[in-house]
This record gives sequence, structure tokens and C-alpha cells, in this order.
Amino acid sequence: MNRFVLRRLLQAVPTFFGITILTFIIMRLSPSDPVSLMVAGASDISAGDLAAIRAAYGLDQPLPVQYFSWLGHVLVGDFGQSFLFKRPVIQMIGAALPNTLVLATSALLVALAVGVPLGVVAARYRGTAVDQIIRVVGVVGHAIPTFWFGLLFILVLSVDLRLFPVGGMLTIGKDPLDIGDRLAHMVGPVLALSLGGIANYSRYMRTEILEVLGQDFVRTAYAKGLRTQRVLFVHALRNALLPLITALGGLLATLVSGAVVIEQVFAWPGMGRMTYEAARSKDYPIVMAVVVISSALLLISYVIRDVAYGLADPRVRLR
Amino acid sequence: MNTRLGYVKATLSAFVLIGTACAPVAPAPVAAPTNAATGAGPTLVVAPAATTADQPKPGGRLIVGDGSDSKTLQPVISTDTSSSLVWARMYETLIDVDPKTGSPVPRLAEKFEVSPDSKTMTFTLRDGLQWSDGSAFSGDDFAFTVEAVMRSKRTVRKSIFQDIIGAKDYRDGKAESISGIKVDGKTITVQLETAFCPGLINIGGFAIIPRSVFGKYMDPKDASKNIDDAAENSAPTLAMGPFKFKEWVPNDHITLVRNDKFFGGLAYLDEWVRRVYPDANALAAALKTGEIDLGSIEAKDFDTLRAVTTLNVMEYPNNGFTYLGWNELRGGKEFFQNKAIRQALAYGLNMDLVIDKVLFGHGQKMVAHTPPTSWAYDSTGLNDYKYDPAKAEQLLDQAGFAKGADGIRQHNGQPLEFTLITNSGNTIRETLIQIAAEQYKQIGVNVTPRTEAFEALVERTDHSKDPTYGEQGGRDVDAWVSGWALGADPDAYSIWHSSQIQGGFDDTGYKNADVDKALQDGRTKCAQADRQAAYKVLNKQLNEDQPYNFGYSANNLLVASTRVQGIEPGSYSRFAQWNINKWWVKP
Amino acid sequence: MVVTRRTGGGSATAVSLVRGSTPIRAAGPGLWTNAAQRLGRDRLTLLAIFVLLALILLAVTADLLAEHFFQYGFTRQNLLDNYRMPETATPAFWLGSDDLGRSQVVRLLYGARISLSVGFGAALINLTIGLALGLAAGYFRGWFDDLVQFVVSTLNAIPSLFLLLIIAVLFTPGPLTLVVILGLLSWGGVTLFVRGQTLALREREFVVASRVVGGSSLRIMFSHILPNVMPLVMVLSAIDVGGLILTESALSFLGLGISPPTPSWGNMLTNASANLSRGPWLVYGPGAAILVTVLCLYLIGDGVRDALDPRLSRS
Repeated sequence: MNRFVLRRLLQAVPTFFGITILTFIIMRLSPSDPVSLMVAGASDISAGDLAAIRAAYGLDQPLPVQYFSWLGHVLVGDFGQSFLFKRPVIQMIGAALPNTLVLATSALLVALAVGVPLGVVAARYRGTAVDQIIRVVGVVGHAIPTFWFGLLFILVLSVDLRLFPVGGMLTIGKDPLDIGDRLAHMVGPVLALSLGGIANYSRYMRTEILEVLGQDFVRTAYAKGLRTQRVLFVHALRNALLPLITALGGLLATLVSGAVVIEQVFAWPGMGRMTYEAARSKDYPIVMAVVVISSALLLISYVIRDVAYGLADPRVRLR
Repeated sequence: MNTRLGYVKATLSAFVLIGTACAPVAPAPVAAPTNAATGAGPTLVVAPAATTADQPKPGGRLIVGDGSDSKTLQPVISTDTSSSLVWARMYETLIDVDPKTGSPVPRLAEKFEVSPDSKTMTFTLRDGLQWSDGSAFSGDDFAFTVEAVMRSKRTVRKSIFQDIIGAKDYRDGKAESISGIKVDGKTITVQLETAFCPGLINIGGFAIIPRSVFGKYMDPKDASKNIDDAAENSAPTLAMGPFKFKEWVPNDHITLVRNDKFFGGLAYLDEWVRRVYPDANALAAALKTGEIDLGSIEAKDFDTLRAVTTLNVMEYPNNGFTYLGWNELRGGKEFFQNKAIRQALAYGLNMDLVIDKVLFGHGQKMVAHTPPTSWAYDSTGLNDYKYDPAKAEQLLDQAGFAKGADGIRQHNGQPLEFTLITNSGNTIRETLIQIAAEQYKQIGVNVTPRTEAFEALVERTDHSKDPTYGEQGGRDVDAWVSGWALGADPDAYSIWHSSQIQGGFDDTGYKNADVDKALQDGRTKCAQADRQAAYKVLNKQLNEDQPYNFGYSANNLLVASTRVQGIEPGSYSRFAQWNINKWWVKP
Repeated sequence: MVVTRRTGGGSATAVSLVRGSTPIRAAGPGLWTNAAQRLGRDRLTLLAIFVLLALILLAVTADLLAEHFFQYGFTRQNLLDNYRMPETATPAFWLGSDDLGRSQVVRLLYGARISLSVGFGAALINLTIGLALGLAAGYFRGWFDDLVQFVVSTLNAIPSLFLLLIIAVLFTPGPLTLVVILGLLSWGGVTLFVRGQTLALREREFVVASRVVGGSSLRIMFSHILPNVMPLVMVLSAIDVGGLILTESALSFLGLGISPPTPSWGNMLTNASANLSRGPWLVYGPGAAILVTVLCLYLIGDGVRDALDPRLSRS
């Protein structure tokens, strides 16, 4: 088992480097220049001043040198300073990352907690009205553009019905530890973010369970005289859960990136928005750091997923 | 099969349900390029009804909504209004400008005067000025601020101070202080190398930072040291203004608390908070629910928000304008150098219709540089370029651009076509370029509208180089829509003087000797009447030459909760914050 | 994401073994014919296919319709007549007019063109790359397989919207470039799936037999493995198209998608959101269009998969 874990971790390392190189190349390929953007509006900057600034940021070095210098710093945890904010990137990410993770994890949990049972119920009552409704809700949830849903949520539930706040993470003036307030602020974004996941998981579970139900060992269980309930939960569910773990990793990626739009609409101070604005201002250190960190997190989640899969299904480990 | 029929049925009903839940909501505008003050003018203000029965009560919190986070809280390196909105509450200036007229008024300096030759300014400080920690404020802090600007590598404000005697030497490390600034007790004397009329407002109106905090980052002998990386740029430890810094949660909010040492009368508000709402609809929704108390909105939501009983909507003139710029130094688009073409582009765009339909009447057409709110504004003799497509076509015909078979004009094989760019995310500008494209097509000009990120557009218009004319200062753009948020002083040197084509803001490459002279006069002959005459000449020429289609000046639309008292908006004070210490909230 | 499926080589014998009640037929029709038959009985999926084809037809004939039926170009503005409410009298204003007085319904048609092309175009690129790389990786294995897996896991590990965002901000792509970029960024899933299928299939008797007989690798890949892989890959692609259309709308919301005045459902929806206070009806068109399209794609995906997978078929 340990060898399996180790192998998976080692496999992740080259991927990590691949990610850093890819991002680095994309950022540097872009036509405009961060230094010009930094001093945009300055009417008296001479070419010498610009060159000095560029040198100060190491932007005048050849690209490979810049890459390895940056990489070296990253590996000791130094992500440099934001060009625009002149604050350590680590500090800024440290402020924003937990907010996005809170959203993504909550959305994941909600998607699982709502999607899986819905899928099971739909499979159980296949063909009936319940099944129909669940499947429709699923598709609609998936097909609505998230920003649109977010906007509607604000308009109807926040403005018209005053049930939830409009944006932000908490109400100014309230105790930051006021859980109720924090939860109220989370409802909108988490709901918007989890819609797609609910849709996916309910469809997924429904299909998986139906497939498992069609397999021989389930027919055996029926033949033995077990009730549907027991068959469903004990046998079918357990087998259907395995591929679900596979899907988890993918969803986390979607969530982290999908959060960009949600964070914009709900004024949630997360990494998505930070990345968006950093990309617009060519704030390289932030963009590179965000991509690297979120990719690293994803890689870790994939490894965990694979390990979980390996634990659950011995056949996988042997490959 | 029939289970999936349910898909369709319930989907349709779900959609109808969602659709009917639509409620009106209001977005808010996105930033203008540089910092500024806004102007007075004919009274357009829909001010909150003052209830004389109420007495100001201390306490309470004001929450202001803005579309983006501040970049820095350091006036020296700040370039955007989202930053200045916050730091201007903490740092003070020697003089201020009257919010409605833009004329200088005392602030930290109780007296100020300019010598007859306009080369010397004298400020007399009030007594007993203190920073928020109780330490004394002195003219030396002012001198330090100028030093900090001159040696900063990221500032865009050097042009304000570089004419002070000794400033350039200090910048270059040849001196350890600026000889032209003398501090003697309460008196500050600033001497300029040349007469510089905007000097009083620009120099006297610059936010002052404390030497006691930032001095340690500088070294008189070492010109390479500056305050650009100071930690206090994001977390100021001392304040002079009505509020001082408490916390900055990035991308979320900044909290300021009352400064008990403020010289101008302690603020009633306990806290001043600025929250970020990147989505305009969300910001308007937050105004409606009372989640924020103050914010700016777009014209299209004026009516909806005015109908909300818990909100006051205030409208007042804007000291700035939105324009279409024509790049005269553009390879392949040399037709922009032809005045007749540019005039045709003024006659051929129905700006009144744009103001009516896109700004819903909340704006004024501009045909020259100075907006109506300014004291330097004089419309006599100006051509108002009333929409006249026939005249536009006539001008284009006369210029030799005949219509081809496809309806597009061309001359010697060069078609009359160009790309018109603006920044994405600004719905009004995006709409404007589409309207322009459509209307210009009617007169045979083929325009391709495009949007790009704001930062990219700024870079394009400031620093890019046209492949053909780059050496002369030509930018890599055909035509663009942008805006100017102007300063309190009507000086327009950096935008229209020919010396500003390279490295300045004369992005169109426009050059005119009369304009150059008028700009110089306006800067050096400082009697009001002289300056007015100079700007009359300037505007007459710009009106004639149309280096821009001067577009429109959109009115400021400020929305506040009815609980907030004491607001007196004026074009020269952004978000009406000039008297923030007098504001109070009804509980 | 769609789950991996095992495909059968498909013969009536296999079907009957599972269902148990059908009499055994000799040398019956193959997978495709069976699938087509089942599909023919699945009325809802047929409806979805019909709707989608209708949308595509409308998109293709947008020019003709705009000129002859609606008599209104998609850029034609009328500022004096903006925010017009939907009405039945003038065809051009069945869905009203937007903030510039443009015909919503005509723009919706042109938007269909753009959004559907972006969706199908990018999905097609995904499909092509995914099939090619997946087949090759799964069949040849070895270092090539490792390389492909490495590249795919790299791409998968970067949150795609981030990457897309960065690219879109840096390069401000036009519609064609957008299609290419979207296509180049999301072929990972298809590749992995195809690879998995190929790995399984290459050990099947008919493939082994083919190799023994001396069939070339290329031939085996194309005539044996590909047809078995194709159906489910196409199901994946159907879902893919929906996802890509939604991604385009998200990009438009962030100001990075198709630039106006070229209409796409995404930027029409964003514009409608900005004009909510003046023209609330403007959201119905693009919103419904996106919803219906993605719905149809889902239904088609479901239907085709059900038709192909005998064990899930229902009467």
C-alpha cells in the first residue's frame, strides 16, 4: 500500500513541474508588459526609469533564468511580491485561499449530500414522477449559467425577500465569529456553486446504481430473498461509490475555477477574483503563485482519490 | 422515455418560474483612468432633504460601496480612484478646493498666497496641528512628501513638483534636500523655477505623508532609496485626516476609525468602511437592501433607485468627459490627420441621441476640452457639431473619399476604415462603440468595435508604439474610447501640448502651435482673466480641429441611504467626501 | 463527468444472455442496428434530436431569415426604439429589442450560430485530439502512453477556468481563436476515456485475432477499436458541447468572451443582466436558448447511451 502511495506521489512531481512551465510560458508569451502597466499614466517616466524598474523585478533576464530563479524561490515557499500591491504574494493568497476553499469544500459537500441521495432515490423509483422531477432539477441546475443563477438569487432572495445578504463574507460590525452570519452569507454562493455538482452526482449515482442493479451479484441477492432496500444500500451503493470517488477529483477542479464567476457576483474575496484581476494587470507573481498552488492542491486531491480508490478496490493497486 | 418527458415539462415550468422572478436592479459604473476632482456648475443636484429638527449624533458607521479594491494607501504612488477614495480620508492637504467651484480654500494652511510673478507660494499653517499619535505636524512633513515623490520610481506625480527649485537635483541625487522649499515655523515657502499657475492647487492640494513614519525608507544622500516598498503604504500608522487606518481585508473591505486628533472638528462617525462589489448589479442590490450606505450608479438605474424610499439619489455635473480619440500617428490611417475627416466624425455621430438613450439624459454633450462645470468654460463661438450626416458625407466627399460599391469610402485604394477599442466591463462605453460603428457605417466609414481589458487599453494608449510612427510617439491603436477625470485646475498641458506626444498623454499625436501657446499661457500667466482668455483660445482651436470627438460629460450619480445626513455633493469632491467629518447617521 | 462504460462487441446473443427472456436469434443485427432500433422507440430523445437539429438549421439560415423574414439585420440599431417589449405584430420584435433597439430574435439566431459553433467546434477539436492520442496511447502503451498521461494530468490539474481566464485576458481572442483555445484545453477527459477503452479492447479476442492474422496497428485501431469506442465518446462529446457553451457564457460575463456587436448567447445574457432594470424580458431569449440546448444535448447523450447499452434498456 505504501509503495502505491509513494508511486502516486512521485508521479505527481513531474506533473507539477509541467504545470509551472506551462503557466510561465503562457504568461510570458502575452504581448503586454507588466512594467508598463505598473506605471500606466506616468507622464514623466523615462526609458531609463522603466529599465531600472524592469531590472529591479528581474524582468530583464533571459526567460529560462527567470523561470528557474522563480522556481527556486517557490520551492522554499517564497512566491515573491505582487507587482501591483507590493505585498508578499503568500500573504495575499493566504488571505484569499481559505475563502475559496471554504466555498469549494462546502459546495462539494452540499453536492454530495444532496446529489447522492437524490440519485439513489431516482434510481430506486425509476420511471415514476419522483425520478422525473429529480432528473429535471438536475439538468436545469447544470444548464443554468452560474452567474445568472447568482444574480437571480440576489435579486429574488436578497433584494425582494431580504432573506440573505447581497455579498461579502460577513456583515460589517458583527462579530467575525458569528457563525449564523457567516452561514447566511454562504448560502447564495455555495448554492450557485453546487448546482452543477448536484446535477452531476444525482445523474451519476442514478446511472451507477442502475448499472449495478443489473449485475449478477445483485440478482443473486434478490434471489436470496433480500429486500430491495437492503440490496440497494448494502450492495449496490457500495459498488457504485467507487467510481464516485473518481469523479470527486474532477469536481474540485471545476469548483475552484468555477468560483471565479461566483466570487465576482457575490463579492466573495477569494482566489478566483484575485487571479482575474491579477491576470488583467499582468501581475505575474500572483498569477503564477495561484496556478501553482491550486494545481498542487488538485494534484494532492487526485493522489488522495487514487489512494482511496486503491484502498477500496484492490485490483487497482496491482496495476 | 416517458421519464424523460418529465425533463421537458418540468424544465419549462421551472424556467417560467425563474423568469418571472425578475426584479429591477441597478448596476454601477467602472473607473475612470486617473484620479481627480469633479466640478461645479449649474445646479443639477437632487440633494437629500435636510431635516432641521435632527441634531448630529456621534456614533455609527458609514459603509461605502466601490467596484474594485484599492491598490495602495500611499498617495505618492496611488494612481486610481479606488485607492484615493480611501487614503484621502486619512491624509490631508495644505489647501482644498471648494466642492462646487473648484477654487482653493484653506485646509491645513489657514492662509495662502501666490506672488505676482506666480513663482512663489506661501502657506501659513494653523496652530496646534497634530498627527493621530499626538506628534506635531509641521511644514517639514510637506517638504518630505515632495522629496518622497521626486525619488519614487512608481509615482506618476513628479510633473507636479519638478518645477520647484532644486527638485530635479534632489531627484538625481545631486542634493540632499529640495532647496526651493523653505519651512520656517508655521510658514512654508515654495519657489518655482518658472511661473506655474496650476501649482497652487496641485502642489498645495497634494496629500502629505509623515516624515516620522516614512523617513526611515529614504536617505538624503542616496537617491536610489525610496518609500515605494514601505509596509505603511498598505497599513498607514499615522493619519492627519478625519479617520485613521484600522484594517484592510484584501478584496473585501477597508475599515477606518475616527481620528481623535483631527484638526477640523472630530468626525461624528465612529467608523468609515469601504466594501468592494465587483458586480454592478450586486452593488445596486446592496444599496437597496441597506448593506451599503453610499455608492455610485449608472444612468440606466437612476429611475429605479430613485423610486426606492430609503435612498436619496443625487445628480451633479462631472468634471470630466468620455471621448473618442483619433490616432493621427497611425500607419495606414493617415486620414486621421485630415481635419475634415475628424470633423465629419463629429457631425456623423448623433451624440445627443446617445446622451438621451444611453445616459437617459444624465449628461451633456462636449465639443471641446473644458467641461461646463469649470470656471474656464466658455462656449461662445464654439461649433456644437449638431448631428448632420449630410454635412459629414459632404466633408468626406470633399476630402476625396468617395463611396465604393460596398458603401465604404476610399481614397487611392485606402479604405476609410479603422478599429475602435474600449475597455470591457464598462457597459456604456461598450454600447457607445457599437452605436458609433453603426452610425459611421451610414456615412460610409467602416468601423470595427472591439473591447479589451482596461489595463491593456491604458497600456496601449500610454506606452505602445505604432510600427510606423512609433519613433515619433505614435501609439499602437487606431481609435479608442476612454475618459478623463480632470483635476481642479483647468490646465490641460499634459494632454494637448505637442511635447506630450512622446511619454505624455497626447495620445492622438495632435500638434498645434496656437494650442501650445495657449497652454503655455494658461500655465504661466496666472491672473484669472488671462487664464480664461488662454483657455478660450485653447478650446476654440480644439473645437475646430476635433482631435477627439469630445463625446459627453456624464453626470455623477451618487446614491445614499436616507439615514445618512450631511451630504453636500459637488463636482470637485468625489463621492461628496469633502465634509465627511460632518456626516452622521440617523440610528 | 460521465462515467466510463463498457461496450460490448454487440451481438444479439449477448443481449439475450442478459435479458434472459428474449429467444435466441441466430446471426442477428449488430450493435448499431440494435441501437438505432432502440433509439427509434425513444420518443423523448428523438424530440431532443429534432429540436437540436432545428436550432442548427435556424443558425445556419440566420442570414436568409434575417433578410427575408425578419427584414432586420443583427447589427441594425434604432436608438429611438430601444427597450421595446415583445410583440406579435412585427416578427423582428417577437422578443422585443435591446438597449440599442436591435432585434432580439435576430440576434438570438446569429448568437446560435456563434455559440453552437464554439460549442461544437471546440468539442470537435477535443474529440479529434482525444481520439487520436487516446487510441495511440492505449494501443501502443510504453513511453508514448506515459507522455500522454503526463500531459493530460498536467492539463487536468490546472483549474481550467483559470487557464482560460489567463489566456483570454492576455490575448483577447476573437471567436475563432476562442474555439481553438477551448478545444486545446479540454481534450484530457476524452483522451483518458479513449485510452482506457483501448487498453481494455486491445485484449479482446477479436483484436488479438486480428493481430495474429497480421493486421497492421493502424488498421486495428481504426476498424476494430475505434468503432467500439466512438459511440460513447460521442456521448461524452454531447455533454462536452453543453459545457463549452456554458464556459463561453461565463467568459462573456467576465468580459472575456466574444466581443459585441457579434452576438453570442453568452454575451447577450450578460448584456441582458446589465439592463435588467430597463428590459427584464431580454434575459428570456438567451437564457432559454442555453437551457434548451444543454437540455437537448443531455437528453441526446442519455438516449444514445441508453440505446447502446443493452443492460439499461427499458421497454
